[in-house]
Amino acid sequence: MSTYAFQHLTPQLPSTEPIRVKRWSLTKVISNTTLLVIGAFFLLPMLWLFAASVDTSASWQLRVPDFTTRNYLLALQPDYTRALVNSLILSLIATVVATVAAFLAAYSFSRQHIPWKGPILLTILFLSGVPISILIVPIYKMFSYVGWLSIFPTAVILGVTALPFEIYLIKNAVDAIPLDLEEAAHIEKASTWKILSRIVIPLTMPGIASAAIFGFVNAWGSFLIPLVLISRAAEQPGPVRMYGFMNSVAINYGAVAAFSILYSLPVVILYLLMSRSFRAGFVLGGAVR
Amino acid sequence: MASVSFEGVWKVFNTFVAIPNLDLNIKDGEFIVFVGPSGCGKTTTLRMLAGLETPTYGSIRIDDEDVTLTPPGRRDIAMVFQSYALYPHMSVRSNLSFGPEVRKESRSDLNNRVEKVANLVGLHGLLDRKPAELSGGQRQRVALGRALIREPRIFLLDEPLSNLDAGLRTHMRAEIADLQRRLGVTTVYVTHDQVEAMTMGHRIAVFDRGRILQVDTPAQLYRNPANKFVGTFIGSPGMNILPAELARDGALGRIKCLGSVFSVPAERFFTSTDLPSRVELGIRPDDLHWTKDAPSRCREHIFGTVRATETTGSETFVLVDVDGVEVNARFPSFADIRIGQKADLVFDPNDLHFFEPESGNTLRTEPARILEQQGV
Ligand SMILES: Nc1ncnc2c1ncn2[C@@H]1O[C@H](COP(=O)(O)OP(=O)(O)OP(=O)(O)O)[C@@H](O)[C@H]1O
Ligand SMILES: [Mg+2]
Repeated sequence: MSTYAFQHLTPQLPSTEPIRVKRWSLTKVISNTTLLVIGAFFLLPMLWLFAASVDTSASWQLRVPDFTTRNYLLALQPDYTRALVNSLILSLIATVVATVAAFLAAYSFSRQHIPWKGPILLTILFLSGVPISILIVPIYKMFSYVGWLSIFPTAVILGVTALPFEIYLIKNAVDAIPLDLEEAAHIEKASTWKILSRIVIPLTMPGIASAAIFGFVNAWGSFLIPLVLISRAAEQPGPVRMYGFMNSVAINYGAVAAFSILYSLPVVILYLLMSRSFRAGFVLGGAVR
Repeated sequence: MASVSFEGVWKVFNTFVAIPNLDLNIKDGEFIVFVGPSGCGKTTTLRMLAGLETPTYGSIRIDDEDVTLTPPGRRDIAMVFQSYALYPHMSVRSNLSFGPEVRKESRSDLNNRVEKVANLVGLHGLLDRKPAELSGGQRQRVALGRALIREPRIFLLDEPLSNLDAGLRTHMRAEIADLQRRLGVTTVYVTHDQVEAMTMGHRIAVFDRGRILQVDTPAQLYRNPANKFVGTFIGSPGMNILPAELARDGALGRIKCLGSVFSVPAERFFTSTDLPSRVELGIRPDDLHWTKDAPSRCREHIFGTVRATETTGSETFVLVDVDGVEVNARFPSFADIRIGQKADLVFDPNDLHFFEPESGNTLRTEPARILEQQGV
């Protein structure tokens, strides 16, 4: 023992060079250059968007802007903000409808005994690949027959289009939770609701968050369905409105760019908000041995 | 506080019979230990009692109330899962307080209870960590603490100490036994550890392939194993099993085994007069002594060559080849014994066990006595 007591707290390091991992290699250079080139393809349009949105005489070309705020003022006129609010309403309703229904379905698919579970799940996966546009005519007929050509029923339909994929996303998340956790909670006399709210939902949160973002973006970017299913112009969402910028004789590139930036803000904010739940992913560590 | 009885319980998974026809009575306040090789149905039995698995046939009663189909939440049972089943998104503190919270128990002394249990299982200072930030043994203690914070009718502990170091295990063993004695809660305890089973259990149930072979007190189980499996499973290292020839000679049973011939008083060892001529003879390594360190009652000798030695520090187990059959014997650690040497072993015929070769059942104990010991 006594020999240890007099030793220094930090031991003497060896005098040779520490081991270094080689940073540069041909493969790394090649792969990073390729990625940079691909990245540029995505970056240039973004650059154009920001430049054009503050340019007095924006065109389709990328150039140094003559600074102005006129484009934003145009894009913020009540008509256009109204369209943004409509988009928000549409997407929020669609997200809530789809995510709640998808969670309940996914939980049942994951935990309950359901006859023909495999084929049903395959069908759902197949449905998530079917473009909803092919059903637009019959849906239009139905909706116009019952007088539903307005924003709320359209929001529900948009939610339904996201349902199959959301079920899949959430089911995978629920599958990853060991059944033991729920059993342990059962034994502790927790009610089904308590088990869902305090154990299953928190642990499924990364899956639910990705599903919710998918549902939101799916509705946010939809153009054809609102265009066909919403009869009143005042209830039309952003993308349909944006179409209006381009329909005029000369396209107002600056206004389109400004509106596009405003229009993408909610999605960016949503990602930032949800990123916490994504980071909470892999929370299952330490649950079972 | 509760008594438990399994009556003709079966569990069949698809086509695999995990538990064929289980009958077992557990008395109120009893500490019963389940032992058996891996995959013999201990966890399955526990899960049926907890209500997590429905028996395929039969019925389970707790305090004379048929609970076969009662959901787990209404049985008032606390369980430690073999897999721990901790809630990974909650801190240790929330893991411990989750149960009391959902049962809406009074919040005023909840903090105290959590602290007390954390101290009991040695988790003080770790209460704010998440399970992923704990070592395996610490996780296991959280799982144990989550059960011990309750005062249920029954404790079900599925290998609750398997991942702890020897010192901590001894300590926790005493704590659990003490808590159980104080609360008087009926406890079912699964373990692979011989010492745990022998020291903690009021009674031990030995499982093999879904069947209970014997339920008895630790001492009885060690001294009077009902069959060859129990004899070899209880005790470490296991009992030596040797082929022998048996002949009845008036009040004596004459035995020929490993080249030596000796006799034992028949009425002490054999219940029936109709004895098989070939039997299997069992003798524990503890009862097979080195000549120089043997009690005087040991009169029968066998000789052999040392094949291997295995020392535990306080004693040495020596594998001796006697006429081509290997037997394990316990030597004192000071015995100077080398591989290849000749070894001279002695034993007392009264320490022997005799088993029927086909069924493996003992020739000593009556089946009726086993049933009586089960408390039927
Ligand atoms: N859900 C299940 N489906 C099919 N077979 C199962 C299932 N659960 C358990 N078994 C089988 O039942 C038998 C008993 O399993 P059990 O978990 O009770 O063993 P155990 O005695 O607890 O073993 P261990 O000591 O390894 O924990 C095993 O052969 C196992 O393969
Ligand atoms: Mg087990």
